[in-house]
Amino acid sequence: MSEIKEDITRNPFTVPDGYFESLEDRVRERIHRPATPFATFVMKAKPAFMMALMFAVIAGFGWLASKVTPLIYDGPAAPDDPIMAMIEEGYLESSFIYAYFEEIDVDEAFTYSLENTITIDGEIEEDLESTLTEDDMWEHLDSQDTLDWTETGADR
Amino acid sequence: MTEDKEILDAFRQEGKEDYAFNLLVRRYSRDLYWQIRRMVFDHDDADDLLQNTLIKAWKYLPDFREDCRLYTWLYRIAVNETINFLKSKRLRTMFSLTGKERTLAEKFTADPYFSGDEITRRLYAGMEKLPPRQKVIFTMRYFDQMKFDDIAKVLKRTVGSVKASYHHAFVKMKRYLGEED
Repeated sequence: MSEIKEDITRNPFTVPDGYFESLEDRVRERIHRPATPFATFVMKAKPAFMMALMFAVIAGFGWLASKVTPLIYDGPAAPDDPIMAMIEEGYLESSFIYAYFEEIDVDEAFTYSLENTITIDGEIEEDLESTLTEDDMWEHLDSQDTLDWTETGADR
Repeated sequence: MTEDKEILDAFRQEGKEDYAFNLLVRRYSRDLYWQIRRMVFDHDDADDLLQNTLIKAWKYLPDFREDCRLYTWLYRIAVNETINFLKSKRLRTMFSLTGKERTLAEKFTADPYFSGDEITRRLYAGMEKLPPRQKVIFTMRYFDQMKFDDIAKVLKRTVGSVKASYHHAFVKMKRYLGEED
């Protein structure tokens, strides 16, 4: 670099003869040249066209991403932990796990969790809203009979 | 500054715009041309960019706020025009359908307006590989010996980013010239 630096004072470029002398006239001719209708249209339409192009490119990327994502990603892998699996599947609410680790009354948390995960018919719901007691709820759950209570360890 | 004042005063007087513009072209076109030419190398490209710069100057001179020298303002227009040109040229080369562009060495050999020796060809060939902004900053610093503060003002960037760009350009040039040895 140092040997090159010594040579930089010499300008290796030249210009055609009379270039600078004719520059004024050429620039003025361009300034006063009337713009063609097409050139005027291009000048006016260019910003709108560029903006439309930008939106099209963004939409294109979005569409491409929606097509490509299912090919390379098919959802999270099933967790090994059975409790985490139940949360993932929607059978348990995370509040249950929270209660478990925070040593809150697990039965209470589990009951809360069941209340929020079991679907109740509209007619029964109205009834429950007005007269809901703990016994009523257990009775309702018995009638549903969809859970194996021995596995849950819940105190009936 | 006196010349700037003369040009601007004339430009603001009705009927004297052409005279003012002639003064401006006569006073600054040579310096601007050489600055541009060193960045784009080719005479026709430099001529186009110089004319575009002067036409923009004519168009926007009424908006010139006089917060810097007239030459600094013109130089800023020229540099922005040049950077945009180099960017579009880079894109054109990238997506060229006609195959590889002629190398710079071939262009210099065929260019009647270039008379550089081997070492100068190597230097410019290295510069051709730099990204547009780095190329411009390298030219301003290395050839024109401009201060980083002044380069930052012209490009409206921070001094830190200008220094970083120059550093990257310098390292690339050193590596390129080292490989050539």
